[in-house]
Amino acid sequence: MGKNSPTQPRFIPRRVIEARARGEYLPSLSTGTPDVPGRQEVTAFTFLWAIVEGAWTVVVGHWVTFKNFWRRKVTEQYPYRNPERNWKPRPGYRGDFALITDRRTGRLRCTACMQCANICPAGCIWIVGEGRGKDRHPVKFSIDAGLCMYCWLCVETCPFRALTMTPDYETAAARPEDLIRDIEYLRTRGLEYHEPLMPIEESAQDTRQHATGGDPS
Amino acid sequence: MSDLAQWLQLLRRYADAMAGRWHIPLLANDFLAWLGAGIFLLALITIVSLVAIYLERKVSGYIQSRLGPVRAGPIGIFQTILDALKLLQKEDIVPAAADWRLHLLGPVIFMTATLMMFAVIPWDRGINVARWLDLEIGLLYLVAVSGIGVIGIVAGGWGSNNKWSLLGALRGAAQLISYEIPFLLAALCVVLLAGTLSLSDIVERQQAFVTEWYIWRPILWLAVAIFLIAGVAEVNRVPFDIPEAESELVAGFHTEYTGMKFALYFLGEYGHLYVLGLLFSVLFLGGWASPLGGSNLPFEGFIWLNLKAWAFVLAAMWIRWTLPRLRVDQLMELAWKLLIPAGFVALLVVSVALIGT
Repeated sequence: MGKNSPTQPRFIPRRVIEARARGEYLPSLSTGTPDVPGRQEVTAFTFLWAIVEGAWTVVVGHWVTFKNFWRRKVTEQYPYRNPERNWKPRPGYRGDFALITDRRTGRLRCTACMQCANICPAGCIWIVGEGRGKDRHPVKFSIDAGLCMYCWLCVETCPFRALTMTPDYETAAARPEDLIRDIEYLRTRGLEYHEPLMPIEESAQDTRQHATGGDPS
Repeated sequence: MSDLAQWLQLLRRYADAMAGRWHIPLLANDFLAWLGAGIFLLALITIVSLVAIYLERKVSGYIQSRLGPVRAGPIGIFQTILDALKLLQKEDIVPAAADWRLHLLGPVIFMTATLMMFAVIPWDRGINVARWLDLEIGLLYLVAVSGIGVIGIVAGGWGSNNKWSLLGALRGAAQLISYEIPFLLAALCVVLLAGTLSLSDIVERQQAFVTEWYIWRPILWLAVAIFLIAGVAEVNRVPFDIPEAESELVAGFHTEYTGMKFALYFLGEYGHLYVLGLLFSVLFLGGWASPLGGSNLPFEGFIWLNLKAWAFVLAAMWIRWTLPRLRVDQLMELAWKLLIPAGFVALLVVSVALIGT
């Protein structure tokens, strides 16, 4: 016997019971359910007015659908594209991956600190780093897009904003091993996507801000 | 006598002459003419249904800011033809516990009722499916025959041995029987005004000029509204589609149908909608009368009648994609508490207006 079992009586608000005792509420016109109060007593005028009102709402509804009929359609016929429209998803879309190259040094921003690899819930990032201190850089950096669940944690945790995701969504492959992105692939994607979005000065400032925890100095 | 009628008469005379020459009895010639008329009607209903279903999908898409079918042919015009071919190939499944005779008879009766309704429609001056089918009591015949469709629905719903089907069939029976009364009352107003039950005579009364159309008579406006509402209910379309309410009853009375039997129900439904459009244009929009004053173009009346009927069909689609479905009790309430009294009021108004004339 559950809480919503039909054999149990429905909860009736106290004010409804009191009003019923006073004989105030009428059963609903349409349902006949006694618990739902009728809005007002039915007279000839309210009856006819309800008809007029209903007819008017029908007219309004038809006007809405009529306007919609002539509106521009939102359907995207995916493989076929209208070149005049912007087909890229909005910024922030989590598509293919990219490693960002620092324009000043010409090297990847990544220092192979392994934070992304450690935080990744799917364990799809594999990094081999080399060097010590300022020289530390990745020699191998692979992301298995087949395992990745696009949770954005690696991007969020990266101290240097070295790793990001691009709006590129056409990443299908015939074999699972083709989905593994190696370091060259990631570098190319970074050069393709990141630089046009952010000019050098802004990019540098952005990196500094991020590294100092939001202090712009 | 229109061009089309003259042309048909010539054809008939030629056929009779050839029959005399080849010693074919005239009765057989009659039979051939009947067969031709039947094939013409079947082809017409099929084509009308295909076009109507395509339009329905397009209109629904456009109203919902979609494109509708676009892949099969330019702007998807072959979509319904391919759908029909697909239905033809489908396996004809009869449920094990079903009464197979009723299961078969349901769609057949439904389709037959729709086909029979086309018999008295005047396509042009003096043109019916057969000459002597220009009945004196055409309207009465049409309403009577449209009632046969209920038997098809009930037979299909009962024969399927499925609770959804049975519920849909019972709802359909209740709905169609209820809505036939206001439908008939609205049509009766026109009959009072025209003084005849013959559809071609009703058109003749309105055909002098556009202003003679019955839709311009204010005393008939109530009847027009009732006819529209009851007509949409007669063809089981949204907002009155409770016999096949897909969100409650799977597919209602045709849940257990596949392939061509299902297609027969579909054809019957869209044919019924089209014939209602024809009836609406005959009763209120001047039938085959041209609003431009007439010309000597061939098939002119036929084309005008079809334009008016298709306007009705499009309006029904517009209504379908605007209004939500009514509940069963609301539906009955609308018919018995509102439309039937309103129908009597409309009848009274027309009668009183006619006293002096």
